Amino acid sequence: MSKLVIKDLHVSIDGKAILKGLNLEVNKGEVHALMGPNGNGKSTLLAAIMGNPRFEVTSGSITLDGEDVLEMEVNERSRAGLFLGMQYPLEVPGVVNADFLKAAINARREKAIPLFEFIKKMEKNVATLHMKSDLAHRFLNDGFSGGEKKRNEILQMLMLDPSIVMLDEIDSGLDVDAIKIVANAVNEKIAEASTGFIVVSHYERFLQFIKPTHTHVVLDGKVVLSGGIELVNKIDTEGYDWIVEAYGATIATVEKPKVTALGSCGVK
Amino acid sequence: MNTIHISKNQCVVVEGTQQLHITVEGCVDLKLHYKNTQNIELFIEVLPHAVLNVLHFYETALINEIQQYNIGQSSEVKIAYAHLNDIEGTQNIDIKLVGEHSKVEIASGIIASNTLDITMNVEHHAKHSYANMEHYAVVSDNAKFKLYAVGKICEKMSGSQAHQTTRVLTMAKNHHCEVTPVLIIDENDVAASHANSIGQPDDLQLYYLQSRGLTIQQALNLIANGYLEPMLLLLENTTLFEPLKLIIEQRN
Repeated sequence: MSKLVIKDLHVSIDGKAILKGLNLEVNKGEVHALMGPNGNGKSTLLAAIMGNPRFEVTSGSITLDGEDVLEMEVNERSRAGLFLGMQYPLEVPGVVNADFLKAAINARREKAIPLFEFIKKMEKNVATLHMKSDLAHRFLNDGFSGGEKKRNEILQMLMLDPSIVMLDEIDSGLDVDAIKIVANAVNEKIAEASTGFIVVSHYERFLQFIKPTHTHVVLDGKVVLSGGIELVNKIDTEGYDWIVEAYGATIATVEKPKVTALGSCGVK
Repeated sequence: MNTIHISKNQCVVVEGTQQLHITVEGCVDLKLHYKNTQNIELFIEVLPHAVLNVLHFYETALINEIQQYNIGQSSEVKIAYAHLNDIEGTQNIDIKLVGEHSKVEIASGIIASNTLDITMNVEHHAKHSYANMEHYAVVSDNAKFKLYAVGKICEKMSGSQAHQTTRVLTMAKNHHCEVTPVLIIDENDVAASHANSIGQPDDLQLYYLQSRGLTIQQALNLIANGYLEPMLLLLENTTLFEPLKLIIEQRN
């Protein structure tokens, strides 16, 4: 079935409200692009769905196929079918990539995956993503370049077969060729039509590759405008000001750190 | 005292209360399998030009061990210490580099869930000798873990190198952990370094692993097993590697 429903979601970080009543519905086979200026809640939405403990859901609901996602632990959300390809994947030295992937696959199976089946699947996906063959034996994201980390996120997506995939700026840090490779891998998954996607991106190029079925603009913690792929093109050429004017929306501004003096200079 | 001369791959079972003298020559992979031990005195003499890979595998509940290595000229020795069980006791380990151009690499993988007190001295008594020790420990609830690691380059032993790294992962609040890295350098023309860290698992790393479906315990086990990896990697390309890898995998 794969249906993710977000209703009137309010989320805070350190007491500051970021999401202020966001609604979204994603079904299998759909690709939803989330666009909007930095600091308006796109990444917060994805992190809150996945259960990042830094983010506090103050009200609203998230359900996956009718099940209350907010009642689930982070690992339970993953096993229920949610996957978040992170903007800044964590490095975990000492944990070997292949061991981690095998453990993650086995966490959602009753019987452990046979070694041969795992290796075959891993090799196929590593080849699809044009990754180095030694990747399986390296520590998880440790010493990876920015592009390698993003590809490794997509590799995990392919290996874990989730029903709802969230990609948070997965295209940032990728060169043109790598964007194509990642987009092709994502498109293969989209073509299976068994997965729903939420994709956060600032770049028209990536979104043109994956051709979202829905586009939403998130401003100040809410979806203020929804449309099709034509919205991606318009934002690319005209920015967000016209949305602010036409819909009376406001853009949340990112607070810059305050500059404070450490003390007086010894030179008079 | 039992005396053994070893010139080919071998497994020696160390048990009960025992004094053991081992001499090694040639290229050897040696497994020392500790079972039901009490008081052990072990002296290993590595003859000149030998290549020795040795795994100390502690499948025992109790240990009170005095251990000494003498490493001869141009010999290359890799020593892995695998403390994977609920071992309790004291170890005093002295490693002496007595021949010029002798080399020792040491890696320990320690799961400490009891009271374990290890003192390791690596002394350079020859010029151009090299030592690197890496200690990785995971300290569980109620454990008392103490490590005193000394690298000493004696006077006139120029061109020598003494390095050490210690990383301790503490898995609970109720533990006692004490790590002391020491460098004693009595010569100018040398290279020496030490690094030391003690800390809990990183919350963000745990979140990342959980976001892929692992329970917090599975995530902690993966991170803990990561602390055994340097010991395993030290024995790569030896006959000791695969059996040890299998044992570590079976811990999951």
